[in-house]
Amino acid sequence: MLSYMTPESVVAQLAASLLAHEIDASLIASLQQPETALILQKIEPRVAPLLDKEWNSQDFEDAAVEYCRLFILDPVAPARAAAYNEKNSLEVAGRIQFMLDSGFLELPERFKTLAPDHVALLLLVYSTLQGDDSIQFKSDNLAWLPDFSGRLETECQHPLYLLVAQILRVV
Amino acid sequence: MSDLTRRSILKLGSALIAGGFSPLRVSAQNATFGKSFGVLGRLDYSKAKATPTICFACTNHCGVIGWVQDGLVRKIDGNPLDPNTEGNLCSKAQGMISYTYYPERILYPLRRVGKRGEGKWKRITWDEAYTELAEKMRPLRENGTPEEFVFHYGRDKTKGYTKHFTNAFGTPHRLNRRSICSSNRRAPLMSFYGRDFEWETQDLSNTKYVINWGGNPYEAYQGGLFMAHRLQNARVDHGAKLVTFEVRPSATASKSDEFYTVMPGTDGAVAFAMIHTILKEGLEDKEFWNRWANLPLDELRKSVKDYTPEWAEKKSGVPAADIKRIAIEFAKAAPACCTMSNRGSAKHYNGMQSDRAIRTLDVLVGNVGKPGGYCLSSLRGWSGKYGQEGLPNLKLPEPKASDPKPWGIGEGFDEVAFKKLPKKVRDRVNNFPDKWRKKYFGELATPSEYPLAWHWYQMRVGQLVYPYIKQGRQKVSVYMSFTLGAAFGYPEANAAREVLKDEKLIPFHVAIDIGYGEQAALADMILPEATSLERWDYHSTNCYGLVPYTGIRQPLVDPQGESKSIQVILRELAHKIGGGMEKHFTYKDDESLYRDWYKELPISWEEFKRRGIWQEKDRPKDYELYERLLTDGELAGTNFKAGKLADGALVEKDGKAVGIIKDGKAVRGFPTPNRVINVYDEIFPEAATAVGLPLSDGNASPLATWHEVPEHVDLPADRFIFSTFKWNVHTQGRSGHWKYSAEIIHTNPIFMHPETGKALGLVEGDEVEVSVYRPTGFTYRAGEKGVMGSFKNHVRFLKGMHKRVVMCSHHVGHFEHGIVGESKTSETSPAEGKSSKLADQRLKDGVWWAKKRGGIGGGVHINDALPINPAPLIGGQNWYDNVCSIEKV
Amino acid sequence: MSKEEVLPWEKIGKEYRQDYKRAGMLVDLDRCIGCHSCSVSCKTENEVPLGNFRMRVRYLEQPDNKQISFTPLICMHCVDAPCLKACPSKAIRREDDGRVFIDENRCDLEKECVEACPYGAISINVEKEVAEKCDFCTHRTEVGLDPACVSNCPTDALVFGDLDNPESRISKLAEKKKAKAWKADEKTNPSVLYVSHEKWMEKKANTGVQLDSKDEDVTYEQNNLKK
Repeated sequence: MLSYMTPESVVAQLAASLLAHEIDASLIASLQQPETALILQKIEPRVAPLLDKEWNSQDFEDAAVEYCRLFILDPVAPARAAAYNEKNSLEVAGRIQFMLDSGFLELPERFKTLAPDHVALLLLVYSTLQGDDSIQFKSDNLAWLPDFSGRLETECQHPLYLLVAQILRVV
Repeated sequence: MSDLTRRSILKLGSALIAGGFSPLRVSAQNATFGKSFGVLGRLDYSKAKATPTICFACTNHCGVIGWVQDGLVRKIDGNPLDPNTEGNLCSKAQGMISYTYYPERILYPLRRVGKRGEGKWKRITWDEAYTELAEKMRPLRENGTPEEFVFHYGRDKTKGYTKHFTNAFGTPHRLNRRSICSSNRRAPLMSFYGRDFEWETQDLSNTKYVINWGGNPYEAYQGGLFMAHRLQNARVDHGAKLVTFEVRPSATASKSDEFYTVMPGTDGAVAFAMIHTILKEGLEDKEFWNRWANLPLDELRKSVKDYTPEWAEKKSGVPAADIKRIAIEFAKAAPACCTMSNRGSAKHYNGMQSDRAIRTLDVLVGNVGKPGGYCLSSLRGWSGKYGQEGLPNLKLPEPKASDPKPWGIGEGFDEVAFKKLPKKVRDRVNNFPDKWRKKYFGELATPSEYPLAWHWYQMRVGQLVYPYIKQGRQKVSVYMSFTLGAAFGYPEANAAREVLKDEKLIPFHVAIDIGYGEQAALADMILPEATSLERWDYHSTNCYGLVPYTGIRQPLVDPQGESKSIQVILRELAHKIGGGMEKHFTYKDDESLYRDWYKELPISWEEFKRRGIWQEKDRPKDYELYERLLTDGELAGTNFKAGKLADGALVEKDGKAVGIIKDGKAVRGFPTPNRVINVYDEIFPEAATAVGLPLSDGNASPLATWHEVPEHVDLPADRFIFSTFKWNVHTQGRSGHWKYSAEIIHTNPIFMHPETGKALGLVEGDEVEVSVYRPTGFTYRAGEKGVMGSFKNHVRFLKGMHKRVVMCSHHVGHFEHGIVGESKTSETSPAEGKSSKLADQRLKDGVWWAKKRGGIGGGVHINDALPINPAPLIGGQNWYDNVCSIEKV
Repeated sequence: MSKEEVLPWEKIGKEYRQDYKRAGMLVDLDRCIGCHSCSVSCKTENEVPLGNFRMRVRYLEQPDNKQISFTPLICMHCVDAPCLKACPSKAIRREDDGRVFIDENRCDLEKECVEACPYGAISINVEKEVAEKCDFCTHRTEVGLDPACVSNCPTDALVFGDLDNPESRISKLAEKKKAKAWKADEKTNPSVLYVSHEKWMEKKANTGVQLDSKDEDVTYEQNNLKK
């Protein structure tokens, strides 16, 4: 199994996707796969109603507005290293930018315009690493993750982002 | 982690894999990942790449070097090739890194979801943004009402690109904030010299004596950094003397050899007393005056007869003996001496005339254009054509769009819109002489009450934009604000916000900016702009080395997120609007555009980018430009025939004077219509008559005069002048969220003299309420009385304050702009993971000076309490006239 | 304007100058205009978090005058450095060119150095859990650049060089302008020397960042600075 296809890696990638952009049709479809949905409901029971229904445009809009409030405009749970890890935040961003520039990852389309210190990018890179690399990367770049997930849990008003906060705790 | 969760995660992962979830492709290089990535990051100058560009942190636009490592700009240093900075820079340059990488920067186009101002937004695509915007703008153009599109900028240094857009659209409404800043200061230069040159360019490297009225080049001032190092060198290394008249111990005042506190609005009185003294002592340069001033010296002598130093002492508080001595020292240092003035003298009801008095001093001692003296750059054209001398013809290479047609009678007159204006306004415009009526573009662009704001060139009266929209003087359908902070920084900012909130008055507001400030918070759509480290600009300004130059702002990194340069935004929008607009925007990318813009430069594009700066080598300095002989080329097609024109006659071409005969020779003279210095100018009484300003008002005088600021006459003992100032680490309202700047200055205590405090029964640190009164002069809403507004803050004593002045800075007290700008702490604490000690200094928990962390907080916003107070005729905001009362809280 | 001409910033990294015997700095208070370029440049250069200061510019009201004096303050790189002696984990060392350097990997955060320094030049970086202070921008000087504060001073108020070399610009200026130590009474023999500094400044200027006294108490307490 490729290192980025382990169950742990894929869960990190799921969290990355949920944080990289608004929930779209393909993402909700992945979450609503019966087996997946069942597990997600166990992790965060409040997502059940959202996984049981067919999403209409209002559902997408509500999630998008919440995404913007949490992460984009005057964000209450900023998703960037620079908001938590002031010292060396440019170093973190620089490291990721360097990796991306070197063609290390072929980024999914909607990850391409994220700031280099964005949590989704960091999680994506993290999901590809194993062993010591993985531990080293986390301590260098993601030490602020508990702060972020705690913050997210407190601030968010949408069950799916509560779910993200839960997942981040074990990533 | 509990086993349960652990198992859930494993199961979740397996389920996702089974379901085919995989957002990721990883290249083969994954295998090469190792510790090498782990050590990257520290700034390493042997690896970082240096690229020159132009700073955008304030209005100076210094040549700088940006160091890029790992795709990020990590440090700014000075560019030693920049002849203005000579390699120097200030703290604000580093602010570019702060505002490019701060975690709350706007990186995506956004559309309002809830009510305007409610703060609910969602991300949209650029295509959605352009489509909606074009659908709103296109009909205006098609239906012949393009003026209902209003473009309003705070800082635009694209050198014509935004104007190209508004012209192509057909609107005259490219509004600015000149009046907020400098129009009272530019008007005297326009009158005296025919150009404002972006100020005089004193030859400070070679000067021996400088008298400074309320200028603060060591902290702020357009050109300040260029001046500060030259003046400090002249002072410390060559013994030049700097005398400053100020109301507070500014950095400039503190480094001055002599510093006098002066009653606000009396700078002109001091200048007049100096003119009086110089004439009395016979120290004037008669030859220069007679050759170049448009007024007989005796007329000047008569006009200053009563302006004695003793009289000036009574008005200003500056001892008569010092005024006399300084005047004599100044005149004796001529021509290596110069005046300096800025808002301190100009932002008053009488500021335009005070600055004319100060400008007269230089003419009187004949230092104009001389080494060490009061020089004028060739910026804005000297011998007829527009454009800086010493530079090749550099212009925006796009197919030119014609200027919008004036609203003057006849051509292109928008009768419907005009008829909607109040009768008083229509009458005024109809009675204007042709020279103004032909430049009239409606009340927002060319407010008829303030004809000098647009007679010379368009300075606008920004603080009246919102009241005029409210009064219905101009219908607005789409309002586009660009790096504008009016909702925070304009006087009566609350009134501006009310208009911005009103969807009937402004049906659609699109804000283009890099940060979510007070202005963007009241928009319907926000478009993220690339920062100055991510985009191109043409740069040219006056050079304090007196040899013109140009520099290029170039991107050091790609725009972050989905942000785009203003040029790209306007170009793509023009194409979306279509209808012929797209024909004016032919370039596909910015670099090609700027390469062609600089086509005529005698060095290659690559070499220009490498150096960042170009200057003609071995060009003589811009001394005495007015004495230069007209060249054969300049004489071609004129009325000049050798020996045929008398001394003083104008050399004319197509009915326009391009030179003047002196000693039988055709020289350039000054770029005024009569090619001499207009110490006397009929434009002031003409404009006064046109708008109904009584000729008894000092502003109406053709010759400089001093008249007391109306609301300062017989100022009661319990009233004070409230004034504001800029700190060196900040730049207008744009820097509150730059973390290192805000860390140094985040509060704005009310400064006052210890004796003032004592008389008010105050001790340092006491909280007071400052109530600001409405102005009483002939101005907007004249006649309204009483308190405009109040604010509270603590007091701090300084011996260098004028005893009748209280003062605080206007940069801080943001109510938008994020964690740093608002000095916020988090509203709620994270559920866990917060080890109190470690998290203490993290940005997201708030800055150390935030009130919730026991700090002093982020200062007080004062602009709601300051009245809109445009100076008569010119419309410059009289920021420093405000009368206030103070009460202990 | 030949292409062969090497531009000033293109030489960087090629000119090493590690031959100083006693690296030092001259601070000319006559030239300083209090602009904070040095301190903000320092913070950007070294990514110093909010609340920590390797360099501060203090605004001090003159006791008998209405003007303000500006005083940039940094680690003095003393020849007899109290911090060096005080550190129990030997994390502070003297480099060959005399500069005093904190080895972050060895720092155990005992804070003895903070107490020992009479200049308040050392602060605790709580994020990295180390003591930190000015190191004359080693990463810049080793590639031929001046320290950030010196490079970015717009009025030439800061001069970096070798105090042991009588021919150096800094030595000549120090002699000509009669440069003195800040707090000479502490007898630490600093390698940072001041022109036109007056005794009264020493009492007022240990720390803090701006003119608002109400702010200064907060600065002291929250930022682990020493009064």
